[in-house]
Amino acid sequence: MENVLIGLLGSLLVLDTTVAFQFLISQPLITSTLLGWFLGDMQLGLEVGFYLQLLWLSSMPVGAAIVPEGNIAAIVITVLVLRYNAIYHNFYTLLVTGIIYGILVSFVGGELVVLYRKINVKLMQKLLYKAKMGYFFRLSRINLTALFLHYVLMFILITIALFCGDILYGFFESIPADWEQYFRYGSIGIIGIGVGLILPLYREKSNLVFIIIGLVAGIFFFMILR
Amino acid sequence: MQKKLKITDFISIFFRSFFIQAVWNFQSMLAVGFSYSLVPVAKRLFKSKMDRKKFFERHLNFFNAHPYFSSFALGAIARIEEDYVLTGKSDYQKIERLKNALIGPLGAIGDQVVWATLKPASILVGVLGVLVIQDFKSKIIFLMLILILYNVPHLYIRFFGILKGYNLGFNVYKLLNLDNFKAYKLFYAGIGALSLGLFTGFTIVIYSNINFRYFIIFIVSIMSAYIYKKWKQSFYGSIIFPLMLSILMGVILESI
Repeated sequence: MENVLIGLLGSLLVLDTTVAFQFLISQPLITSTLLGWFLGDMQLGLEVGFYLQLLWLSSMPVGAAIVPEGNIAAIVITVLVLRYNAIYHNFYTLLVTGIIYGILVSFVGGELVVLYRKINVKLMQKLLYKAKMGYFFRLSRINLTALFLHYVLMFILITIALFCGDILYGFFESIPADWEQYFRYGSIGIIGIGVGLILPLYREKSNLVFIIIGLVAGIFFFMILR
Repeated sequence: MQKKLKITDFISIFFRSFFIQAVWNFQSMLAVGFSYSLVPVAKRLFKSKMDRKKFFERHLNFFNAHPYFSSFALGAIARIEEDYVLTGKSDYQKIERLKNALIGPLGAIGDQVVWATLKPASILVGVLGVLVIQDFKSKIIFLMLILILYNVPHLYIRFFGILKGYNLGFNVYKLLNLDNFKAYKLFYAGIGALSLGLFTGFTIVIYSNINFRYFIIFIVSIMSAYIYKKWKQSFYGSIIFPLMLSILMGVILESI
């Protein structure tokens, strides 16, 4: 039942990605914190969101590009990590495996967006046909239909992904506890990957100067602070 | 001449523009959302069903732009349609030509200013705050800061884009030059780059202090992700490959 509730809430947040508002609420850092609050551990939600945000920060919805659906992945990963960390207490194992699973979910999410946009073509054609027949345009209805369709598609994906995640994480009992130290390295890798993926956004010379200033200042400032 | 469109119409266009991408499709792209946003204009200017039908037929065919920056086109079209109604002279081919001419600049400026600058900079400030600040409540303040840093310019572009487009009409293209947004772009790019530098510097200090192996993994994963992204241009691969590499290196380093 909780999976369905999260599906209902999560697909509402996903609308913010491209189809409505675009206030950044759908970014993993915000979404995961909100889900953490909903599931009773806001702090852990924020921590998961922090890692996921770094990975998905560099993806840009430029033009007609189909970007990886990081927000759907963030919802699924956050819920699974929060749920199973309370049982297994191996945060890094859950996080890293969750990210691998989340990548698959985000890929399926991207494919669903393609499907959604193809269905929108049909809606558009219907609209034009009605126009030629002399019917008054029902733009609001078409808009609402498209929003609802997006909501339903994402709800189905999130709910199924959560159910499949439950099955998958059921096998985690057999993972040796000392593997946690290896996955800890994976979590550090995630932060590094995030930085490595963001760097190309700032490859202009003027930006590189700021990065270097920040880097040097950061090292000195935090060394003194510590 | 007495203007027909009222401020309430612009507010209505503004709110409708939040749904401009709802029916985004591979055939007409933004056209349905664009027409949906222009409904208040059609209602105000045209009273007969036939006139409204013709109005939407003009705008439903094809249009694409950055969703926020499309507000400039919405305002300009509202002005031109209003002028045509007021003067009784119309040349709808000119509207079509203007829309086609705006597609490129609106998309390019929007992508450069919003997706490549504003969004990463706002989020990086928040991410830096979450990493550096220890107090949980202060971390939440940084999340709020992300939303403020991003949405103040976002809402400004959406609303004042409509008004500026309306004031300029056909001349809106003069405003759509990246140089006009240069200061704003430099400011946000500077904030983003500085935050990224501080973030990396802080992470280096933390990992060097805890365990030197962590520092090695951090540097290797930055480089592997960067190189893989440049080499293969694959988003998924540039996460999976360095992630596997960091775990594998962890196993090796732990066994030494």
